[in-house]
Amino acid sequence: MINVVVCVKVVSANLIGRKEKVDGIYGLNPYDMYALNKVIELKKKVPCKITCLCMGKEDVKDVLVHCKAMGVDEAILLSDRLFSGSDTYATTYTLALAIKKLNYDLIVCGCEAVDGETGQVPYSLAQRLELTCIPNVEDIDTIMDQEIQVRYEDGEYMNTVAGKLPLVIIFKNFTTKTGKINLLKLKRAQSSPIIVWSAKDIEAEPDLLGQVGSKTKVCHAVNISNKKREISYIEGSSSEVSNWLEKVIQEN
Amino acid sequence: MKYIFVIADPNFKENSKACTELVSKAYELTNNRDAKVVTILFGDISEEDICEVVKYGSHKVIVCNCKENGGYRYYSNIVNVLCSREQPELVIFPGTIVGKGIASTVATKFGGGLTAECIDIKVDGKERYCFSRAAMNSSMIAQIVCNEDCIQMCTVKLNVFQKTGYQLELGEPEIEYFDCADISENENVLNLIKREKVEQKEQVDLENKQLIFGIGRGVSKEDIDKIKVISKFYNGEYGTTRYLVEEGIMKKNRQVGQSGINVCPKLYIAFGISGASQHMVGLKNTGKIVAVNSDKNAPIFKYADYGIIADSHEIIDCLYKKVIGDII
Repeated sequence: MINVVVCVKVVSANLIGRKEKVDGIYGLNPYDMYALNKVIELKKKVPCKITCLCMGKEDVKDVLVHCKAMGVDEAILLSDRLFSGSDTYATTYTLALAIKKLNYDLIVCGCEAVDGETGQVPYSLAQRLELTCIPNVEDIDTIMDQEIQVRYEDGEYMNTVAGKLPLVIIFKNFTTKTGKINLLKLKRAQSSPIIVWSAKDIEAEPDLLGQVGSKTKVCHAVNISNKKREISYIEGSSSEVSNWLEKVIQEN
Repeated sequence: MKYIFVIADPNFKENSKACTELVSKAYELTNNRDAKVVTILFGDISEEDICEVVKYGSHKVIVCNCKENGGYRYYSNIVNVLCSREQPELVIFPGTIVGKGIASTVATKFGGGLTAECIDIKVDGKERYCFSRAAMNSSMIAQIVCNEDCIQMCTVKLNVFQKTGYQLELGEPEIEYFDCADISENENVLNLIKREKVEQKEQVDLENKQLIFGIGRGVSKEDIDKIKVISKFYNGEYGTTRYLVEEGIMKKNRQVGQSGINVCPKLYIAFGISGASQHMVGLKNTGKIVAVNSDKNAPIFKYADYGIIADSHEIIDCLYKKVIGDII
């Protein structure tokens, strides 16, 4: 049995590009959704226990229920007011403590979250657990006897590597499709509780958590343009405006 | 004496432009301050390469005689040793995949403050570095400072800073060859089984195009096809926002912005783009921005030089007909 921990983030639904109608105000980060789908595919071939780990407020639980209906065995929500305002450093401190409480052979991450767009968490987490991280993973080929074989993109090349578990892998892609969810499975998922861990449960030092434990802070937000652009509005009929555009393009 | 480290991507050949951009910026940050730029290069580095990074403002270059294709943890171990030795106050990493891996690993090891994909670095009145990056989900730029007691770090993408081409009077630069024989290689190294060239994807050269058409959420599929024709006619390219990439309508290699590509055309014509900061940061060094959007309150009008409040469809259609007329 391979113990797989998938780190996921729940983001505001309006950040997720979706063709279908969005239900609810939260959704799974599309990069994590892709990683999760890949792991669920893997479970069909190799016996796995999949644990989803998520930091967030209690009201993101519905998204985790959805993950369980997709095929995740256990979902753990790290939720505590002390966690709020975490930067990468405080986030990975928290995630690493939680992971250390679990059995893990493989840790799976998406390559970034659509809200923060930093993509730093997997490497930092790997460093805290003293593991190696493989970025840009396309697919898992095989996994057996504590050895994994994955394919990852390296510029113009596709590399196939074998590595000893435990390892951290980062999938490079994203999807907004959840796949079909069986209603019966959803019902079952809804009736089994989502585990919630607080700072105390993971035996965290409060000084290292959240905003207090972060190494960076946002001092203020400013308007984007550093050149003070004066805007001129071009008015007129569509053909007048497009004549003007054509001229600008040609002058350029 | 304070030090600013600039870390080169281990594949220097393909990332030399990014490196010299970072060196230029680092040099600017030493202005009127008692600080020096130390650039760290890995592997097989020629004298010309060293000259190049010196020319743009390195006071010192450390060439690490290390093995090739060491993996990001190996390079992180080298940077760890050099950071412990020199105690730099600021370390700037390239925003490449390996660069990100090294940055994140070193920052975690040292408890350093790390700002990812920053678009500007300034020194404020209190001698603190202030990093700018696109704020989450808004049209603003967040300014980030680190705790005082930690090493400050950031990653920067290609095309964020401009090479200033200083012909500097730095005197004779100091060059150190750092022996990496003692650098530990982590256990659990990966065994490379196969390395195959991937089929060439469509080559898109957004980074160097002078004319780019930006395609946003407000553009229909039919109109996208028309923009393709228009951009080809004018020898331009077309780029897009994260949303359309995630919708599967456009390919990732055309995404402009924080998690995509930074572009620097003379002219950027944005159709149906609202102007979230995560897209707009990719346009920082753009000459002129023309925005076409039917929503007069769209944030993009705050950044544009010319605004056209109109239905993108109408304008695209008119331009398309002109182009087709010219072709026929």
